[in-house]
Amino acid sequence: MSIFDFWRNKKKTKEEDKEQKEKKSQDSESLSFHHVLNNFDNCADFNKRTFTSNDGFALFFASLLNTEEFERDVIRSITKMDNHQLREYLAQEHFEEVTTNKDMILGIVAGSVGFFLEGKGYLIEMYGPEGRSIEESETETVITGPHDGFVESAGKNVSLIRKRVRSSHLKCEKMVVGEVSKSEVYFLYIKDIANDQIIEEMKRRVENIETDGVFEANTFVQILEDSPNSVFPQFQTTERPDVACSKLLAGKLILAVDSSPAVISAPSSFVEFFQSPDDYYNRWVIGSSIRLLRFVSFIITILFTALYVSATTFHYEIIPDQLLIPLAESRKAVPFPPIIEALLMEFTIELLREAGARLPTKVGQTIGIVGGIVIGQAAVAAGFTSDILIIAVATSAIASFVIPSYIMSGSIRLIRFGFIILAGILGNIGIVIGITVVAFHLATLTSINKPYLTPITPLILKDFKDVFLRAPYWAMTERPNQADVKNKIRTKVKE
Amino acid sequence: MNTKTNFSTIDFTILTYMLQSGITFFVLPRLMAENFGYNGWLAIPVISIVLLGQIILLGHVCKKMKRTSPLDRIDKVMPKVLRYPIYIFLAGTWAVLGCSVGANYFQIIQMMSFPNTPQYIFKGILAVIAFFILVSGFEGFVKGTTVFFFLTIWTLFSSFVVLKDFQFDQLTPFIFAGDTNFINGSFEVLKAFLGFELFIIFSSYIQKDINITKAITLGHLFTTVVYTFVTFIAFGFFSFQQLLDIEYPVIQMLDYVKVPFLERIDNLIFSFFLMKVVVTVTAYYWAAKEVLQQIFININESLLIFIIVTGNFLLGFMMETAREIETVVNIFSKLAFGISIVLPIFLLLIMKRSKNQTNEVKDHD
Amino acid sequence: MIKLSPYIVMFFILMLISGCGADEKVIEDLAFIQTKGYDIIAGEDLEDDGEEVMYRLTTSAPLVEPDREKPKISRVTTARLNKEGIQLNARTTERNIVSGQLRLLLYSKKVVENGLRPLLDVLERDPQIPARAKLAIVEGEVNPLMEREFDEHPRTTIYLDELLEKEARFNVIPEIKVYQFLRDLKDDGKDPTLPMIKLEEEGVAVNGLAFLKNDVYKTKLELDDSLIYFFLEKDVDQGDLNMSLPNPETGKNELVSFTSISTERDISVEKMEESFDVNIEVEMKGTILENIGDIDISDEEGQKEIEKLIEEYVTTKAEEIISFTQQSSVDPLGIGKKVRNSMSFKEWEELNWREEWPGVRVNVEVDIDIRDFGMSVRG
Repeated sequence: MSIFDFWRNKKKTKEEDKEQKEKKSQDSESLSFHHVLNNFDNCADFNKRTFTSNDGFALFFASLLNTEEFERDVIRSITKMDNHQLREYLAQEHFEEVTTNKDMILGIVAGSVGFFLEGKGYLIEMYGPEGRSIEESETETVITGPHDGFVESAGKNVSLIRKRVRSSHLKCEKMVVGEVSKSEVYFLYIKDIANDQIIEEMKRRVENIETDGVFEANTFVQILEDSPNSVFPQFQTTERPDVACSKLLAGKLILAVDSSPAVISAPSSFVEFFQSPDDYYNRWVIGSSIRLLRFVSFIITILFTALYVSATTFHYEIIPDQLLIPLAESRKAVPFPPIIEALLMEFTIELLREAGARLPTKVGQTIGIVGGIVIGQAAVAAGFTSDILIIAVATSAIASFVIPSYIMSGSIRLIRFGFIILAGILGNIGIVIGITVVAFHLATLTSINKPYLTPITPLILKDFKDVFLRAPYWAMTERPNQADVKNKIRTKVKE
Repeated sequence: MNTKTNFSTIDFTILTYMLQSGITFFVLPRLMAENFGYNGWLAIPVISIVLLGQIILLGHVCKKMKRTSPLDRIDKVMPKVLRYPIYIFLAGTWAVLGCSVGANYFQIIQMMSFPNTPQYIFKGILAVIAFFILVSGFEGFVKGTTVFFFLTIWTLFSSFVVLKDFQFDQLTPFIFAGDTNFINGSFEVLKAFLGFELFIIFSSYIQKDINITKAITLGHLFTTVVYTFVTFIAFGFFSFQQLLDIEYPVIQMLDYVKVPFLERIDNLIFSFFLMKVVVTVTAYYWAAKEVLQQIFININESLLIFIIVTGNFLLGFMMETAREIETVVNIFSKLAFGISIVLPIFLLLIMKRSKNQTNEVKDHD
Repeated sequence: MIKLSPYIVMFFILMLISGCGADEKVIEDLAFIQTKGYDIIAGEDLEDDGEEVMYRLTTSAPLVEPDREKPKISRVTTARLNKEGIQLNARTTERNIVSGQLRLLLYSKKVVENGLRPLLDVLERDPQIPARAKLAIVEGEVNPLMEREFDEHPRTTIYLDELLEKEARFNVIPEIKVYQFLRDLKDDGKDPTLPMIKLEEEGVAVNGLAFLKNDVYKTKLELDDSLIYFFLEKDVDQGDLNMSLPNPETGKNELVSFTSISTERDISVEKMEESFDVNIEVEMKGTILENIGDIDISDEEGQKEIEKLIEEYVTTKAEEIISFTQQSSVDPLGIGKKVRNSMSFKEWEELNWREEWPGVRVNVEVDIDIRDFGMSVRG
């Protein structure tokens, strides 16, 4: 993967190499209390604790620990022990003996407590920093269905998944990414369903990442993707454990990145970005209708304004006569050609959206009023735009928000501008040229080497049950083909 | 990791349909009326069935070749002096045919809404898109074709809207009556079905578990159904004499269609045919590239594609008027049809001979 | 194989097309002609002198200026070529005149008497002209009708367009658009028809159905009978007949309003030695909503009697219409199609239908089912 080489080359300057080598030589030396202590100088939040009854030391970051548990379970008992008792106590299983400085330091920064006693080092995991409690995800809301969402702790996130999939086949492997940040990445998959090749490939890609730190799943996606330059995201991220579990059962791989409330599912297909858990919680007819609505809104987002531009610039003959005069009249006062007019309005809508996203909710409402009423009304009254364009732009903006994935919705809103420009220069044929290029690009995209536009291309008719429609559960007896699952049968219909 | 896409037979069925159906579709009803007279649409299924024989032969050859390149086989039995002219002829025919199909399409687009826009702009765009598709390889081409199929197939439903004005009286009970020219007409139909012959070149890229014969046959039958259906509707929608007078009956039919938001959807729907044209053009360019690669073995593949695409773009400057384009299309589709018959038979002969030779070698042992 | 980024592709495409713009037709810069009217001004009587026919072309486009009082732009010019006329008309307007939104083509009766053919070529050839534009003949001159401003209807085109549409929906006139006209004109078994309109005091009224022999005006059918004409031409799904039926018993007239009529038509052709026998069977269904007369329709006997009277009335009228078309030797009903479809191609080729048609014996058989007699049981 060329992209990983790119990362590597950028990060590894010669100086850094040298520094790292020195550090390494020290780190791998035999365990030394002073060395460890020196490593944490200038860390105000670092704690060192001594005990009166014995010679042991405890080193830890109080901010990373579950302090209450630590006091109750460990400190209280240790303070009463003498050296001999403590030695036996530390030999217990939940204490891990470490022999190198590096391991000790890594353990402490990861939220363990390091003990030193008579030149030997031990670690006990006490990780439990304060974090957000489990709340509903704000970007992926549903009306019915579970309301818990992932939080910024990978451990909690994994527990949310394991709570739902109670099987020993749910495997969870840990990897560490980030030279400085040492973020944990958990690989979750279901053995006997997920395809080994996909897991291997994903591991290879994660191993190949050499960067200073990764804090967020969507950043991570962009490093792992097959085509990082594409506008379209190739891995789906979700903040909902129920979605993550359904992906697992479909044979997909879930990557939970520490400190990100989103998990990555791989491989993903284009149509998955249009699916919402609500489709599955509703009756299938309703779920299917809503999903169709979303695909229609996708088309509206991309083409509505472009068609307006195309019709007013080139193809006046396709406008129905009842609409023709009002349209021409409202265009009459506008000083720009349709393409500029449309781009201006689209730009304004994007401004509103961006401003609304950046501002606190209470101020955000003001933006709605200022934008919606003042600009909308005044722009038409001042002859800045035609009122029909306002309808087109507003409809396509609303339609773009129907798409459940915010990332995908952003991609689609962006390519819309391309379509508007093409329509303004070449009319309908320009729009079709745009569709041709985008469609071909989508067709050749892959998500960990699996086709992105599945099941449309390569065509797998069986998988269409869960694309534009959501078939009833009795009909969806097989897992989709994209993840190349080992076990295809999902439901066995009992006689 | 296996990065190859798993295609299924249906993908190649779609490819066949997309290769076969082209702009001839828009003139087909008139051609049928001109050459077969009243109820000329009936000739389409008849000729299609005759053509099926050739398609099965082609499929058989593809199967016999066991996914090896047909050109490698020719390389083995023919000396350079003999095979190079043949290769250049093949590549030339296919490349020019592809080019002329594109020119034909844009000539209609120009007539409909861009009478003052120079054609080279459209041809340039086509060249860029074709290059974009070709460099992504055969796999990308097939994947793209499937998507384009879905993006164009809905246009067929617009022909249901005109059914309200369909009159059985207009069909008349006469069959193939009037001024007829069966030979010319048959050729026009064959021209409309052309494109499947490229499977000979494609076969070495297709997975072994795919039944090529089945894929081409199904695709061909689907094309036949579409052609027959639309031509049938045109025969009932227009009166016979009217049909003879209309250059592009299907466009005219769509001109009459009105949907709630749009009037006269002919322009929009015809624009969507760009995708079919793109598929046809890239397929012919791909075939030309494959052949030329046998001559210029050491050349970079992308460079070769660039040369073909640019060459054809420049060639497009010589095809500007409707008459010129029609002449070129006629000549080169005749040649391509000839190739589609001769090439499979020739390959069959080669394979038979090489088989005999190996048998002889065995006998000596 | 290299993977080409779509951005590069888009970049090249945009580079190529950035020079376009020659064909821009921005909507507010256009004057879309909605009505075109043709009068003949020269050549009509002078054909023998070889003088070219000159047409007076009136074009009318809506004025896209929100606050103006005048709702339309009208231009008049004389020209030989259609396009030439449009060009001449465009000289005095700042807009680009286009005909892609054409709704109505009006021809004066004289133009049609002179033959429409020279004016049809542009309809077939110009891809801009919509197949859905309606055609009509104007009794008298077209120009005054188009120049006239109707107080109640600021946009004449929409007024006429909707008028024609309404009358067609109620089966007073046929709906003839470019497509239908050309279809019938080129069908060897049918002659085209066109609706006729006339400028009257209060507005424009539909006043007849013109029968054309090929592209030339032949005669006109009065509208009183046009519904019965449609019973013979096609299956009618909507229509009202108000009849005064002479009652043979009393000698007085029965006034009957027969409404919500739907009919089915069936034509069969029999080949005779000399000519043809054509049987037209019309099945009618409808409701009687008004009846003034002596027949008591509250009992079965009376109902049957009135059915018979209506049948007789319709049959007579239908036969009158058919003999009227035969006298003018035009076949707007499309009987020729049925005759053609009953024989072999060779026979049809040898047959001169236009000459044959006046001699054909046509039997009309009307079968009436009265669905109900309204809400009253009074006799």
